[in-house]
Amino acid sequence: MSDTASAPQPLIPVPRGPVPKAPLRQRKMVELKIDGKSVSVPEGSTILDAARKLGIDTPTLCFLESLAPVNVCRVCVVELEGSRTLVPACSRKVEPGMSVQTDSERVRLSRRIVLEFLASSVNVSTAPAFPEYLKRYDAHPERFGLSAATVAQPVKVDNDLYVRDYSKCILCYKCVEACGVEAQNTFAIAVAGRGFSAHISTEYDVPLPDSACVYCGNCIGVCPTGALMFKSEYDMRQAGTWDESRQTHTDTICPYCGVGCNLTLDAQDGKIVRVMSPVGNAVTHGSLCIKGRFGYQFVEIQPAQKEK
Amino acid sequence: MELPPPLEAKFNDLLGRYPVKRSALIPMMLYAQDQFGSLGDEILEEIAKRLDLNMIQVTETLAYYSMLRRKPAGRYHIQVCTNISCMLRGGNELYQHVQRRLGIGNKEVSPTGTFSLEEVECMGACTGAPALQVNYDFHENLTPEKVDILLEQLQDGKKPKPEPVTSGSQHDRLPAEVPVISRRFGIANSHKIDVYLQTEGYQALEKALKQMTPDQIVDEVKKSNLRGRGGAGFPTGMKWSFVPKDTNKPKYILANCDESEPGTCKDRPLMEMDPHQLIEGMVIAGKAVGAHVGYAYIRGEYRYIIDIMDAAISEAYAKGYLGKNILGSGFDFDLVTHTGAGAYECGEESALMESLEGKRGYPRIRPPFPAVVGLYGCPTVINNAESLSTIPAIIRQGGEWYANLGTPKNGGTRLYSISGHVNRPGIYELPLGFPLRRLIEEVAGGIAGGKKLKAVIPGGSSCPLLSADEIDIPMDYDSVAKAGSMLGSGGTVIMDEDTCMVDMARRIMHFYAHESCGWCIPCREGTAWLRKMLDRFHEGGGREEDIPLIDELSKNMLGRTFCPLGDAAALPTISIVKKWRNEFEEHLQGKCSHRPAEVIAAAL
Repeated sequence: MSDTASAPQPLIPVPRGPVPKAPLRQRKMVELKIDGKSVSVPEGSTILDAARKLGIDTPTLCFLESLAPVNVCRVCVVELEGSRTLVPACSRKVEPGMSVQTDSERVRLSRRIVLEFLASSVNVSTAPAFPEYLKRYDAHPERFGLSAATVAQPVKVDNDLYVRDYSKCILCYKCVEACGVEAQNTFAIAVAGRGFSAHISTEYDVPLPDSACVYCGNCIGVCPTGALMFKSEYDMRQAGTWDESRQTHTDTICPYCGVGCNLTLDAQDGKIVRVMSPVGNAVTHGSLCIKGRFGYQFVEIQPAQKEK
Repeated sequence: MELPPPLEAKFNDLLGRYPVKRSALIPMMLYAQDQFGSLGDEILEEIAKRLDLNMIQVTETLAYYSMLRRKPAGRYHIQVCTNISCMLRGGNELYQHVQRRLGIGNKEVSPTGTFSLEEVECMGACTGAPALQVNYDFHENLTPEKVDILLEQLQDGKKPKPEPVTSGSQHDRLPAEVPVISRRFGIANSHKIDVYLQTEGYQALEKALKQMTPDQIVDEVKKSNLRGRGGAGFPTGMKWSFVPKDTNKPKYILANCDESEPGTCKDRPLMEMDPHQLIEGMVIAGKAVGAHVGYAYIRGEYRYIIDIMDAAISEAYAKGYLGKNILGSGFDFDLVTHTGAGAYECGEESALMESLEGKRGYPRIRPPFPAVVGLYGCPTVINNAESLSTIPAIIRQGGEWYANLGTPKNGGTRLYSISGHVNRPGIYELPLGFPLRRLIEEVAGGIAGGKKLKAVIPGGSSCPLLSADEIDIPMDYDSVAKAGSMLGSGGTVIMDEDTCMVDMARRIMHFYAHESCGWCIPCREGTAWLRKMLDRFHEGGGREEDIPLIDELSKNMLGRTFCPLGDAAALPTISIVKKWRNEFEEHLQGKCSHRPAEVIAAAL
């Protein structure tokens, strides 16, 4: 037996010689001006991308990198020279020679009104971005008077995994996108009604267990206001024990299957309280399945219990 | 599920109309509802199965359209319009009368199931105000007494005769009128192809197909200075020239017949009395841009118009003006109608396309524009029904001839539906540039009851209002814009000196809040908010700081919403607060020196 014969054969033959490389395609760069500063970004980028490159913090609510822009919240609008209307930065593609103002009086006023509208009709207490935005744009939702129209309604608790509190919903449609064509293709939820009575609903407004929901929880992952929330988080908030300052965040890989989804485990006092996946992750783009998202309880089972 | 044979046939017909199955969803639901009275679980599941959709796709669409319902209505569904044109002539009173008479409230059904009642938005009977619909039948120029007779007839199982033709569309021609597209109005059987052919019908098509190249057609339309009659006034020829020539994708011609701007009812008589003119215009448009399929999207309330159009299309196919190798020219064009199901927003071009694709009528972001990415992602020309109806005359008699009827950059004539406090409400065809004062005093016969003029909505309720001292302007797009308003869709609404403008602002905002699709935040929240504030004012509960707040919020919807519906809600409101601010201040003190709309209407 020779040495070569005993060496393990690779399943896929190793190519001889150099591996051919795809020719590098140079993306055309587009130059534009934002707030008087020149910036150059690849063709196909948005005004938001360009603004971020310059370090300009443009507020967004309905935008998420992993989903197609829906352009509804209008909080990212900017002033584009030559355009009658303000344009949404999150979706408007850059064009050579554009001149954009991101912090003009008109833009600030427009953002302020949107924030006031939302904060007066929606419960934004668990929306992380809101307090800062309200301050930055000097928004005073209370000026609409006490009789403000609101979307207040009871929390929907109809399963053990997550709750839906539509009094916190700003209708950014991210959950609908994540449930439908953008990620999950489950089509459990969509918009019902019209105008101010538009709202997210299952078919015929049935409880989640009777809907097409598969409990992937990807809608929770994209919700910007906490309207969709882990039941564990909801219960702790109700009990007054939810405390983010006591929480740790551990990045790991889901143990269930071979896909290798990245998980971020939020734990408080040594117990997992929430499982997310980073939106920027190349494997998951923020999406998980029911097992990765909710199937973590086994971690807490002690060896003694396992043997029983 | 086994369907009654006529519905089965209708479903199969609908399935054959579209390249994408889902497009049949809304018509299927509406026709099924006509059959069963409402949309139950079983029929919806059947429709989902036939269209390969899941239930949420069906229910989300259903929930958008105001005509579709899950609960049965009465055998006779009484829909009373209280929008501005009707309100000014007694719509509110009529609605309250029916309510008392039937003993049921809004969206309620009588105990026997005979009647149901609904307060509805503008149904396109503005020149016959006040009006109501019994199921799909129009009844116009009503009084409480006439309604009593109507309800008695229904109660006795008799079918009252619906309005034979849009009120105010047939009248003795005034010297000021220039009938081009309305010239067949009043001719017996003008909707039939034989009459159409006797009156130069389809001659333009023959000329366009046999003697002209696509570029020549586009040039002729450009020369005519025809501007879109739907509201925005964009030059039609230029719109056509944006359609790419070098594409492998199919192209589409859409006729926007979703007329629903309050105060506007001109597409209705156009299709009712001259459907072939619209068909001919669409085929010529197809030839001009290289499209072979056309859809006429007609609002759901106009069911009898859809039937007239369908019959006219069948006639045109039978005589070879539609279908393969039209008039031996080698050009093919197929055309079908498509019914809406109750949504003003679907008159917005991109929302109309979404709706035609069987979805919720949400607008699309632009760019890209429909000429490049439109229906089914393909290049699409979408024009108002009136604009397309004008094409045959332009091709037959030349763009220059048409342009010369109007003023520079504002070619031709257009239909005005004049409603409100005038002696002769009606639909009149006048050249562009016609003086607004003459339109009110001469054409519409002046203000009713010898009263003074207070305000004018020049072209549908989304236009800023003009006050009595602003009416010495020519009615063309540029002059009306210069005066701070818009020519819009030609729905001219006249208010007399006793009209309460706070009430007017309130009613206009009610409409836009009802019709806001809810997609973007500034419009969804803004219209709901303004409605609430204006209600408060009207009831005497306003706050002083609300006056500037109403103004500020309106100005902040202007140009900030996803589509122009936000502008449409903001513009009239801003103008009313600016021009009649004193009336808001009076309301703060619990005073309204004007008579409520129903009292004025009763005196007419």
